[in-house]
Amino acid sequence: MIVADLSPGDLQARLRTGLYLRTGPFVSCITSSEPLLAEGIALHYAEHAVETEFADFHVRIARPRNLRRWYRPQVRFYFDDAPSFHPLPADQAFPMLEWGLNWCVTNQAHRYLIIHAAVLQRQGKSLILPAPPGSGKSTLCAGLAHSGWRLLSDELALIDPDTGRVVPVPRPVSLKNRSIEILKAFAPQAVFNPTVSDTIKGDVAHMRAPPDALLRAEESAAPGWIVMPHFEAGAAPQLVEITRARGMMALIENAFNFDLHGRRGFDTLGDFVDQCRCYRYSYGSLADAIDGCNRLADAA
Amino acid sequence: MSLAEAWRISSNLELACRDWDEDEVVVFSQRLGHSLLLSAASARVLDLLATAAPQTLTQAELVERLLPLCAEGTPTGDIQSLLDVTLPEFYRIGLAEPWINSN
Repeated sequence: MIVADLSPGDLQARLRTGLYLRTGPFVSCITSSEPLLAEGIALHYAEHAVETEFADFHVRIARPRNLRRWYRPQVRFYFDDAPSFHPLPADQAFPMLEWGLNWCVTNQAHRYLIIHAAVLQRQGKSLILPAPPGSGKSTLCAGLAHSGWRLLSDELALIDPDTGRVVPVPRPVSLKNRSIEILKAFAPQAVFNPTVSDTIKGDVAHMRAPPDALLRAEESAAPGWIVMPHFEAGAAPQLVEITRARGMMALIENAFNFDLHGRRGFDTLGDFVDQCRCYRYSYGSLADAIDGCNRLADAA
Repeated sequence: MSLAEAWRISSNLELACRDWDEDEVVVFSQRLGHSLLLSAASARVLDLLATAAPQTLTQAELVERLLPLCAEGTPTGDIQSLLDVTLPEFYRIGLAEPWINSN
């Protein structure tokens, strides 16, 4: 069964007792009575499997039991029934779920080496985009996902130490501020939920993962390219090959749990980078950025 | 640091290294728990200290061992300058330590 098989009423009923939602290798048991959350899940997770038992993460989005239940209502994220973040306005329930699920993966899924990076795939190889917030990573990721690249994740590169391959976690792509309109203009076919304003990250909208990403959600990807993106308005595109050593350091510096993996993590990343070419990429427009990534894939 | 001073690698670093025949190398220490990007030249210094352990090496001995690994005609002054920068940096980050014979 997938989420789209559930009527809106059935989905809300499941959410009240716990919806077992599969996203890539993980199952999250999500409990909530928030209507906006149900709408967001129906829109973004329509093609995702609904499981019946066993969850990696048990999360709940609920209104705190205080006066704010009635006055400018807020929601709170609970992990294993423990409140985990500051409350946010109730209209931010869906972004909160997304941020919370990212938090669950980065704090719990330590069988993988977890890198803060977008991942896409073409020509059988993965393109890793490790970068800090504000570098344009998610914008480029969303654009590539609508330009013939398969989306594996916009936020978390999961490297399996057993196989040395990247495991997909295709979920909605989080876009902020000007990126929202840029993507809507670039990919009119892309599906977005209504923009949520005044979040801690500014205006936020989520773009649904393209169908290909969901159809191939169990297909891991081989190492290919590590590209450190840097958006600078108006800049001419500049794709510079860097040493593999710098590529490896970029992965290490953007890893959430490298220290937990120790020597095995070092060897896993070293073997991964062995099979990659590494670049630093400055660009001033989304079209330029996509063109540069396409040239990498075409030359492979 | 004087040429008479000897250096040794810190104990139990459990070093691992990734080298792709480039100008830079990534070194990992299980004990320190972090990775470092080193120039290939600095990585050679670290490798000499690791190979010599538990013995110490003076700066003069390091210069002598590095010279054949450098491009022909490299002035010894350049190698000494490298050591003057690299060894204190290794000490600062816990990779190596000076050893002074008090006898």
